[in-house]
Amino acid sequence: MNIYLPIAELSINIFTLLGLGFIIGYLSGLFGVGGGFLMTPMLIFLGIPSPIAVGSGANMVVASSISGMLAHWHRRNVDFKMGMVLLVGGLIGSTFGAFIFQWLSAIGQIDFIIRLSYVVFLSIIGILMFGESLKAIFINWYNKRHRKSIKKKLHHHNFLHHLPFKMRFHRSGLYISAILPLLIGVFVGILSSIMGVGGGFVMVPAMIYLLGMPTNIVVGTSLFQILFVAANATFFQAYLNQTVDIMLAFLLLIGSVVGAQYGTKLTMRLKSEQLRILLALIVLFIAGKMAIALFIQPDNLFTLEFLSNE
Amino acid sequence: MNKILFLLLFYCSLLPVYAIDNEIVADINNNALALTTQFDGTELLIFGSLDDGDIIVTVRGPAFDAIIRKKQQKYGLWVNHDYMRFHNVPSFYFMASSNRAEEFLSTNQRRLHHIGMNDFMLNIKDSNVDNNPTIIALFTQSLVKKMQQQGFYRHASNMIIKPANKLFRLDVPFPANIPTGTYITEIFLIKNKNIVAAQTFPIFVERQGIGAYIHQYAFAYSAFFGLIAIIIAMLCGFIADVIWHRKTR
Repeated sequence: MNIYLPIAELSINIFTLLGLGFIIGYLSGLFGVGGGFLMTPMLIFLGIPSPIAVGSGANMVVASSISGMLAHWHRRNVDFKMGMVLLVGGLIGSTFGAFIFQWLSAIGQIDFIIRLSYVVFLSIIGILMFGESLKAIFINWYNKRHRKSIKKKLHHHNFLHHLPFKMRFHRSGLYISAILPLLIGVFVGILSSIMGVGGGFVMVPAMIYLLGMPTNIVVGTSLFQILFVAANATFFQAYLNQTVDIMLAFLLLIGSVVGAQYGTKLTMRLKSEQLRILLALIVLFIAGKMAIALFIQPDNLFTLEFLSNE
Repeated sequence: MNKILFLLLFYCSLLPVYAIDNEIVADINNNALALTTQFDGTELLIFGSLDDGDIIVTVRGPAFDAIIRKKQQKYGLWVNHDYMRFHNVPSFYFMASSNRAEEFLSTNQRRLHHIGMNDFMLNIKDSNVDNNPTIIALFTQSLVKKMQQQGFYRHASNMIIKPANKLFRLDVPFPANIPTGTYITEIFLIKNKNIVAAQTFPIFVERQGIGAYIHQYAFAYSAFFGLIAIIIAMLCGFIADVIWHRKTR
């Protein structure tokens, strides 16, 4: 049964969209990631124009992040003060990103930049995740073998922490400069608008390694920021660029919200390191596929774009 | 008696005799298309009769500006670089003819009546390449090819006219993602390598149903649309949380 998407202006099978939403939601519940960075490339592979994939992907991330954030909020695992600082940066960044997006569209380079950004970031994240989960597997094996524990430091201060505008973040137990989370927020916000992602895949490692936040608070707090930044990105993509296909986003988010709830249940049963290696491989595979496409001579060197009569 | 006969002959001589020789009558089975959520392409039927000669049928969709961009390899990556922006590009074009009648018309005639994709008179608005005929032809042809690939431009020669009663019929296919607007259908009667008669009628293509509202709101009330998109997403996430976590409260 096909449905005609009014903004994307193409007809697609309704069950493909629901199923895709469910799978991405399931993976996001399982691995604790936003899912935007998996969804947008999948939409592009399905033939949705990349700007619409970005706009509708940002819309979908709003739904999945509110669902996850509420789950963590119940357990009091959100540092709202840190979240607010990240959020201010994120709003600046995502608004700025939407304008960059508009400019790139006008000069005909938006599709290329979206794909290039994905190749770069997915590769970095995939390699980091792969390395990190290998290390975790090794540590587990070592601990079992030698009945010792390799302990990690709680958190270490680097020079970035001592920049001006220091604030106390009680829930995280930190007294650091507010400039750092602000800059992280801005960067993630820009990515959010240009790639249609929540940015969690940059924020979570940044929060752990750059800010030094305790891991159990990181996911909930990042979801809090992602929620508002994705909402802002969605708003500006709709207002500036008219790239949000609400029909597409709605079908995807129904599937993804349901899938996420089932995915979280399964987390209990599997070993997290095995999951993380699996996700790392999925991410690297997508990155590789997109990278190859950029270097291969396309079948048709010409692209056609219709404009409204002005 | 002779006077009556004379008057009768006189009146007969005034009748427009040529109209009976060069008459073509045509119609379409539906001149309004509603693009609903279930719309997945369709076919319209054009039919009619003629007394003698060949016919050419064209259906032209609304015209827009269009840009063709050409990719080039830079540092190994394929990036858009050269471009040409055209005025008045039809978003849909269908042509059918009997006995390849369009080949017997002059180029000027074809251009004047928008017959044939090879003779599109595309005005160039601006470009970043030399505007010499070879390059213009290259970009124009790639535009036509792209539109053909997506099913928006179609050319069917050898339309059958039934010899006994000079009836013709043809199916005009419309793909799922056709643009909205007024399409012009023109039917030309060709005799002795000339257009001797023509008929034209419109086809109105409009969105209908929820897809229409969504499209209209997205473009006309963009800010409001953005807010609605966010609210719907938030509600769905919130509801999902309520449903699944009711037990753990």
